[in-house]
Amino acid sequence: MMIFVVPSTVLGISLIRYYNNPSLNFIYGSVFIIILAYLGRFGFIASRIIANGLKQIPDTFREAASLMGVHPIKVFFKITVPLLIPSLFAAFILSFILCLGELGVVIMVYPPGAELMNIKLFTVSANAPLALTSTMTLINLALTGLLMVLFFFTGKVLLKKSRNASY
Amino acid sequence: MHHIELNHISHNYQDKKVLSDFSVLFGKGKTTCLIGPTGCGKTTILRLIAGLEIPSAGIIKVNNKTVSEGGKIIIPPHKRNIGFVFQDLALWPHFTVKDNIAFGLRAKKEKNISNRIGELLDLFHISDKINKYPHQLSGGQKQMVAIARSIVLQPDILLMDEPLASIDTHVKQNILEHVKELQHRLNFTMLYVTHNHREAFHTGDTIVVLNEGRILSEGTKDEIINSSDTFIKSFLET
Repeated sequence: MMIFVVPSTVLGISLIRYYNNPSLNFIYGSVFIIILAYLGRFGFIASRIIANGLKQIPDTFREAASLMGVHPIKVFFKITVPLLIPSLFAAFILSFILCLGELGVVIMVYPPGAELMNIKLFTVSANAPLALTSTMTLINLALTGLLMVLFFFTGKVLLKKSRNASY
Repeated sequence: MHHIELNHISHNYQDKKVLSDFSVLFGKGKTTCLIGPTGCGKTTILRLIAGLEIPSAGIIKVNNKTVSEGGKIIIPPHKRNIGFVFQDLALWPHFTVKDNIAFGLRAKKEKNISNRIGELLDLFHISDKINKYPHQLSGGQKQMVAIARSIVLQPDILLMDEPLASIDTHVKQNILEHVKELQHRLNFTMLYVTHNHREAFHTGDTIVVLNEGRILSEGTKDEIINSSDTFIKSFLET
């Protein structure tokens, strides 16, 4: 939770300070650094949503299976994971939306050739004509909207499948 | 012959002492009902026997074998051959009735799974619900599925933690008759937890009355009814 009060620029500087050395260049020079930046910035939100989902699964579900001699790994994949799907999906959507709008950290750490849409937009808005900026903004908005519609329908299917999981 | 023995058991939930120096014996093939007010330790006793809780002190024996001893699990829950019907039934909501019952059978690589499930569902008259999900069943049907799931592995001991709370008397009696029939056929020992003394008198060969982690009285229905203990008298009046 504390990470949320750390300004994005501070997080960006810490990532640079830690990963900007030759032995970790395979992370610092690749898209992994962007993934790490997103994880550091919003990972806790996803983890809180998933943890809440886990809390809602009664212990007796696991206990009933363990009394029958079902292996814990099988219990996890056959009982826990299917019941967690709505929480996993919610965590993914929220993280995705937040990551789309994140600029403070990624602008500091993105490696060459891995410019994200929002970084490009930010750069273009400062240097290019307004028409180009507007077009790119519209494309960005349309892509985001399209993804949201896709998530909405995927979510509906997933929730329909997990409707049996109302416990 | 005693099937289950709890000797000088103590158990705490965090700082709260639930059982202290608690001892009791349960006879083989018999039905013992544990009755008492909420929080008196009934469920804890079942969970300790099943191995879902570890006693902080004392010894638990099943079939003369020590299964738990002073803070340690000697025999893990799945090797105790115990069926447990939980208060919330714990039916997996994303599994059909068939899959709920078959899950344990498949894990143990048992044969004739379909036949065994069909036989049990026939007994409970819910064969037509085999492909339904728990949310598509009535309260009574869910309870029957939970019982069928616990019995299908042919346990030596069946632990029932208030599984028939919140259903009407007629359905309850119907289910209990089926369970009794199964017990007669499979000869398992049954511990039945309830806070309803009428249900206990109808079901149990022996009744154990508990309060605050202690046994107040133990005996047949008549012995409990004729008890002079003031708590028992007031409990039976409720």
